[in-house]
Amino acid sequence: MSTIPKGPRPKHLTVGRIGLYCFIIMCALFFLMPLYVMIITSLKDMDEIRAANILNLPKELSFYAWPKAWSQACTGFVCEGLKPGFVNSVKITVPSVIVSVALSALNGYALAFWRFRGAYFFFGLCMFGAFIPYQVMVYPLLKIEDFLGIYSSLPGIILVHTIFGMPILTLIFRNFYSFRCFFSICFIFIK
Amino acid sequence: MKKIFSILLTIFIPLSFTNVSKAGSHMEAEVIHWWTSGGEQAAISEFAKAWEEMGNTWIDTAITGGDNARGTTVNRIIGGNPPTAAQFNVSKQFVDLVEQGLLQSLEEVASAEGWRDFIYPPELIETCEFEGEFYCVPVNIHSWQWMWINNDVYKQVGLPVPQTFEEFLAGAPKIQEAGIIPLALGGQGWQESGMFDVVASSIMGFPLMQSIYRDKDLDAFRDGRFESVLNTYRELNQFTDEGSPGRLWNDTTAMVIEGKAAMQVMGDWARGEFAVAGQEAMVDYSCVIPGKEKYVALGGDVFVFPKNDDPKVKDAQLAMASMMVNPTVQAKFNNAKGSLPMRLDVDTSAADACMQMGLDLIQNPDAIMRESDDWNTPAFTAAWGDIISEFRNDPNYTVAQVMDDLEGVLTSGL
Amino acid sequence: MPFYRNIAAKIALLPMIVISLTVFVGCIIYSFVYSLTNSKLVPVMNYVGFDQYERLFKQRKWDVAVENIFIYGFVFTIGCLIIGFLLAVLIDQKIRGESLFRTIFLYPYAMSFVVTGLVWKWVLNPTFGLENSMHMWGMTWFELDWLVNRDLAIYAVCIAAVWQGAGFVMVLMLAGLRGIDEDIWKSLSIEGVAKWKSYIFVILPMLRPMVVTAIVLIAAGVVKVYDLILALTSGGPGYATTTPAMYVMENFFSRANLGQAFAASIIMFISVVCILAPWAFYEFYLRNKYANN
Repeated sequence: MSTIPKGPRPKHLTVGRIGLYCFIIMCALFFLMPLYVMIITSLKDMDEIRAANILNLPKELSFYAWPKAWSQACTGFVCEGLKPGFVNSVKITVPSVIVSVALSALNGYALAFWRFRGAYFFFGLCMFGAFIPYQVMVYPLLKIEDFLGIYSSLPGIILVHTIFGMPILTLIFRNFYSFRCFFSICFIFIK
Repeated sequence: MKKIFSILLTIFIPLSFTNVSKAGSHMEAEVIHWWTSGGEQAAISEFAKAWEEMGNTWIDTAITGGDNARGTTVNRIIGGNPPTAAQFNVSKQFVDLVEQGLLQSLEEVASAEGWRDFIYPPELIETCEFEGEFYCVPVNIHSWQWMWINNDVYKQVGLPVPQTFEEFLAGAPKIQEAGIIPLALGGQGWQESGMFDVVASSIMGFPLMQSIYRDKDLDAFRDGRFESVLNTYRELNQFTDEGSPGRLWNDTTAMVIEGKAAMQVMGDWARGEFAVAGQEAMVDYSCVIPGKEKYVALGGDVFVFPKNDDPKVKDAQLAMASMMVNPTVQAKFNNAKGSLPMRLDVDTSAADACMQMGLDLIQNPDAIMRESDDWNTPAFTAAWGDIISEFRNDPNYTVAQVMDDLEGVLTSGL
Repeated sequence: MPFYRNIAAKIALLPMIVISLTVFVGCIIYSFVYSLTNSKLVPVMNYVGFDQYERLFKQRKWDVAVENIFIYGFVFTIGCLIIGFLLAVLIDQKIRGESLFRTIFLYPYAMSFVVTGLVWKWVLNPTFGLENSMHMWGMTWFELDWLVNRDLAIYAVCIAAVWQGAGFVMVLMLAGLRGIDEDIWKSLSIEGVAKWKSYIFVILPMLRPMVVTAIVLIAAGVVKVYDLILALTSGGPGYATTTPAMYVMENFFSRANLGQAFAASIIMFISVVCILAPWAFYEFYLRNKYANN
């Protein structure tokens, strides 16, 4: 069945239509408001921020905050701004995503195509892990990482992200593989 | 980072050290601390400078917030990646680490240099000594027992600068009418309990506080004086402003500096903020030790050195401990920090009027007061602090209920 | 031999099995065992029985935390569902600029909790936020000081949370709505059923699986909420917006009271299980029933 609305767009503007647009625009304003505040505050200078209204447009555009935040903001006396943190985020995210997705795809494939006793039990256990509050796992993970010698390092964080992401990702991949299997490949195997 | 330090070195005149025995070797040290405000940064830079002048490298890991910094330190020690040195307070925060054998003993350098002879007051030795060995090095003394007052505000309303909380309360309504916030307080747990203890000591006196906090004497707790402290505390809180929740201590001090508020109860580290803002002690601002009996509380900071198998790290740790108690370094560090040095033979000629007041007072052993932190675990302090914080924020929490809940903490064995 | 059949699959699944056992099961056992001790700064095996649990339930702070998580959970879930459904319905009306509006409603979900918390902290601040703006524009009757009000602060947190989460629910619902057969709409319009009635009484029941999925995903996130509250209020004023997750983290790291933290985290875990077990049982039992038929 179609997934996009079909048929001609209603041609005339009834009161209902106008009302609909007004309402949706007001909702959009509510959702946009914080983004707007963030952007215009970043373009103001400190005096204007302290004195004025957060919703007012800046009197004059001042970009001084941007380079400061990127490379000069200080924590203690290390004044390197956001850049090292951002670089770290990239360094953490890219490998974590690759490892999580690869591992979960492997799991999903194995679960979808090979059935053996115990597979479902462990899958269920894994799913159960999705709902465990992180706080229960935080401290023991610290001890596990100490044992493996990877505490406070990049592999340590990648491990944590992989563990926390595994349940949902495995579920998604398993569903993907079983449906694909059902429609195409399994037919071929059966024949 | 190394660029910044080499620039610092070329700007400032290098000091001469007499006890640098390992001048030839280059040592690297990573230090975790929470000194991130303007005045505090100036102070830790003195240690960093001194370390770098010895030919070593200082890797600074500043983490905002004492709780966060200490938490990070403990995690890293347990996780197997400890820093070279870490800051703690004069307290029982790191007792567990000592008991589990996770800290490096400093006895070698302590006996060699005779720390027990010059550390003053001797109570500081108790904080660091376990089973006859030093496990931490005290670097300063900070006292919470101070009121910081904006002189212009009091001139404006025509009142004399208050010397006790009763005097402050008497003048507060007039200040409020003039549109100025009488009492600036940051709504964070440690600030609220810190102020509470100052009020308690100025009203109850130290001996009674000791019997409650250290000896857990319930009769002393219930004899009526503690209740009057609670009532005074509640009265004081009528004069704070509604922007108080969550406000950082240095932002609160800024309110007094700028004249938006009249008074803040804060430890002597606030002096650094006034200095950075270019204000002069007793001229632009007054520092008052409140209460009829004046005390210097023995708070302050210590550095601990997590145990490391690498002998090079151990050498670096002992060298740093020795550097931190060096009289010249102590002079520069404490002057920048606004704290009192932990030895008497330090050159304090650069001290301003407020610091001089503290220095004079500390000579008197009766004026020395210890804090609850010194006898109680962080869990106790936190549970106690929660109740005080709730008492300040919730007008429906009656004094009677507070007394019962506090008694619960006293008897809990935390 | 039966063990070597599918050996490739077994090896492939080995990481998952190892992780599930050591991490998921192992952590729970570790936490439970140490919750029976009075560990302070470092974990030590001093057995004290259920002392930590007794102490936990006597804490005023824990009561506030539990109350808050219920309020937050309820308001956040219902808020996200209603607003998400409403937005999905609005977008489904064949409006112009549909993808623009979809992006506007969904972008908050891509923002991190910390940024969301920080921005809303400014906006909801009575001294420089929205209330101040309204006053400066002459509307002095406007009041939005929920953030510093001990009873209303948790609702302020809910506003920020719903702002962030509604977009996600909207996307789920929209996918469901788009999957509804054209014929159903045609028959509804032929019968002259009012649009709003058709949405509520006919379409919504058809979206049941989507709604259930949305509820489960939202609920899983509710118990874990930590960074948003930390950024928005730090648990304040006082401890009016603290949650069980914050209580646990505090006791682990700043209060050096590991035993208490472990006990609280086990209680959190048990409550999650209590909510999930009926649903899981219902889902899997039903599924088996239908599979067998």
